[in-house]
Amino acid sequence: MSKQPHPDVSLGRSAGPPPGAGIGLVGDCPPAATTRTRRPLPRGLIFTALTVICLLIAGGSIARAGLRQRAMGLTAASPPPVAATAGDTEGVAALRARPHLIFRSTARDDTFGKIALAPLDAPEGPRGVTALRCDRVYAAADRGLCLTAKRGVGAKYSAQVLDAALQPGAAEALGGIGIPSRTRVSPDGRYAAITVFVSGHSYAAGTFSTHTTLIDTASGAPIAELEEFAVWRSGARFQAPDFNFWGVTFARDSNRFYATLGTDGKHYLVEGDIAARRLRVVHEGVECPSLSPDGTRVAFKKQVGAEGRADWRIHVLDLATLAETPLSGETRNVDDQIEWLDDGHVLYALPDDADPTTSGGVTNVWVLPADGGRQPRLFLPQAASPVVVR
Amino acid sequence: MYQTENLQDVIKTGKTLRSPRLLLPRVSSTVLFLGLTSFFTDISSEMVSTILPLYLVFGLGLNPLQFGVVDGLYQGAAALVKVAGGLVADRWRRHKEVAVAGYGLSAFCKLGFLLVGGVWAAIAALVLIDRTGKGIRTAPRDAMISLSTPREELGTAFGVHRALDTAGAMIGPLVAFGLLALLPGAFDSVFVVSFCVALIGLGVLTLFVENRPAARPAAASARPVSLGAAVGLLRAPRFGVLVAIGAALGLMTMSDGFLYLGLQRRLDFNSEFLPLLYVATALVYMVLAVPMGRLADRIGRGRVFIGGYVVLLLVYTSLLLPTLGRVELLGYIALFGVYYAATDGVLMALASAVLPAELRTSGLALLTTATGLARLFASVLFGLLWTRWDVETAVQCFIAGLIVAIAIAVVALIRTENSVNHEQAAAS
Repeated sequence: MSKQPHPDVSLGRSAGPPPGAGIGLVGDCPPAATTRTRRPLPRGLIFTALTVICLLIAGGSIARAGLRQRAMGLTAASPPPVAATAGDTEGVAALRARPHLIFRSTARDDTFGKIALAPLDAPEGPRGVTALRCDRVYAAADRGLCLTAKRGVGAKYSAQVLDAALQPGAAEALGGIGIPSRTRVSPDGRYAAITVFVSGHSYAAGTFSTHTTLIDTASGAPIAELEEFAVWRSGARFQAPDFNFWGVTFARDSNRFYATLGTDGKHYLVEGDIAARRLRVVHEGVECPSLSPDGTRVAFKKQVGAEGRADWRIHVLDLATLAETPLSGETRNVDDQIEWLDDGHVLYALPDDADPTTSGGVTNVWVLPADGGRQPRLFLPQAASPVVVR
Repeated sequence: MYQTENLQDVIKTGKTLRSPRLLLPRVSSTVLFLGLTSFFTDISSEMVSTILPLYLVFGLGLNPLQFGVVDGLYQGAAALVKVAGGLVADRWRRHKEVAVAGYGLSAFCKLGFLLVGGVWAAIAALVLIDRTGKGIRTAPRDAMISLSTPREELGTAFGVHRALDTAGAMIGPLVAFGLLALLPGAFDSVFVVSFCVALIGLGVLTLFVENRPAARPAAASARPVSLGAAVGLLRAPRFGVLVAIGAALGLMTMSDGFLYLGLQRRLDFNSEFLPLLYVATALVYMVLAVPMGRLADRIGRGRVFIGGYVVLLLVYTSLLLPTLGRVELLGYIALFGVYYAATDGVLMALASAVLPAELRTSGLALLTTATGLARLFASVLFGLLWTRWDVETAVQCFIAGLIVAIAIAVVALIRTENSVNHEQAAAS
């Protein structure tokens, strides 16, 4: 196409330059006479050069990413999240026998993205690494849940129930549209909750919503979408088409749970009852709640700053008095679902400072006292999605 | 040989380039190259918009929920930019420069995503700048399409452009997912490739698209380009009627998201199936854009445009049917594509035919702003109806409203057509 001369195609009624003037350069056409004598670089040639340069840049970028990924052992040919046969099975079993941490390794080596374990009393000590790759993980009692994005085939996810050895169990993996965001397993291991992001298409660009699904871990099948539950606020039904739910945290009895309800730009803390299939609004301004082990408080991220330039800070809500305590020692933007280390400390992941941009995904887990303004401390380097198992 | 003859023919008559392609018939090279510009730009922008959520969550560990919040606030600003861009393009007769600015802005945003990293506010700003670029370029581009096309072939010209545009929008996500399948997590490559594709589109525009508005009517000096003159267009009966019709119909058009959601609830199909509906709609739109444009040129643009909304009415009724099978669903999705093909480019052709050349861009900018705001309001309205009552009630309200809007549009268009005919009779 670029080799073909491009004639002046102005209309008959046009008062434009005479025929032949169309072979001018970029933008304004020079006077016809100059064009004929001086013959500037043909547009086709410039365009070919531009295309070649673009192809080289694009090709170079792809090649660089390919080399980088080969170095990290992360290629398309790498095995999908399946059995941990290649993992450190015995080490994992030994770690499972005492209080431990389960997390997603974000170390820049061949463990990147794999689920690893560390003893709770020595988190920076030697890790046991499974062969299982998950984007989010959680475990409680003798069950776990591995939430994975199926990359390369669109924004689909897979939710796989794990057994006591953190191996994919007998239950069939649940799949659907969405990007994995959060997962939690109830203390008795009976239920799991997953939250995924669903994005609008180009025609409705820029809009995102969340889907939160409760899963029966025995079968791996969904029990309900939180959107199907009846929501009550101040004794009255509360309904709107823009309801979004995310960030489930289960209570000790495993039937009750807390979650975020987002609607009309506001974020509510809701308390849910699986058996009754209902939700009750408890408080406002709470995102991604996490119930403390003693069940009295909720740690959450609170949106601070102006709309459009929002940041999140960790707060703790006393469920009896509804008093909020900002954990002001942490001044960075925390966009994670908090995990309680014990009744006095919370854990959360933050992107590694040395690696703030693209293609990184390296995060560290920090620990913060849950009672006010004390400073955070690095707890578990090169890890994400921490789970405390006692 | 063929091309040489063709070229001679073009130079001799100053008429349009005859393309041998079936789907790209008889359009000026300007239309073809603007179509290719949009084709490449849409590949580029759809690559990014497809993977942006994945990038935010996995590349940066951010929460993408807030983007929707900015959206509503932004619409008003976008409308201002659109009209301002139109005025600049008209006043200094610099359609191409304004379009280049718009396409360029979006192209460099692709690179920006690489540079800003995980700074959430910067990412949000880039998304807005990207869309501002889209707002700036649309009206001058459509004005250039119309100014390089004889009045009787406007529908075909817009059809060709929209077909290429939609083709790019379909290819973009495939390229992005292909890259991520090859190199899991290599979002930087997606941005770089997207930037390169955008540059090629920008190259087509700067190198091959002619920069001269075709006609400089004698009346131009009597009508200086100003905001007042542009707003005055609304008082011109024929254009004013079109804006009113466009806004009235837009007001009763539910957003695509609501329609797909409604269909999904109706059928209870797996959500994995949902993206296929978008693809099917786009495919039908792409294939039918040119035939619909030609049909509009032949039997009347107003008829095809109204016909499109009658088809949309049919699509809405599917949300009220007691049962809906898979085959019927596909049929309705195909009809939804027909609606797009019959209305989107055709409305621009309708407006181009009644807008004076010297105010073409400002007029088109006003029209798209009016229809855009009407649709935004329709989304809010649909949401309110859904909240207050239920989906069925909301759909019933929109069907009733759409019937009224179509009736008004038919009456108004018939009166407009009559006055055009009178004028043409008087002229000849």
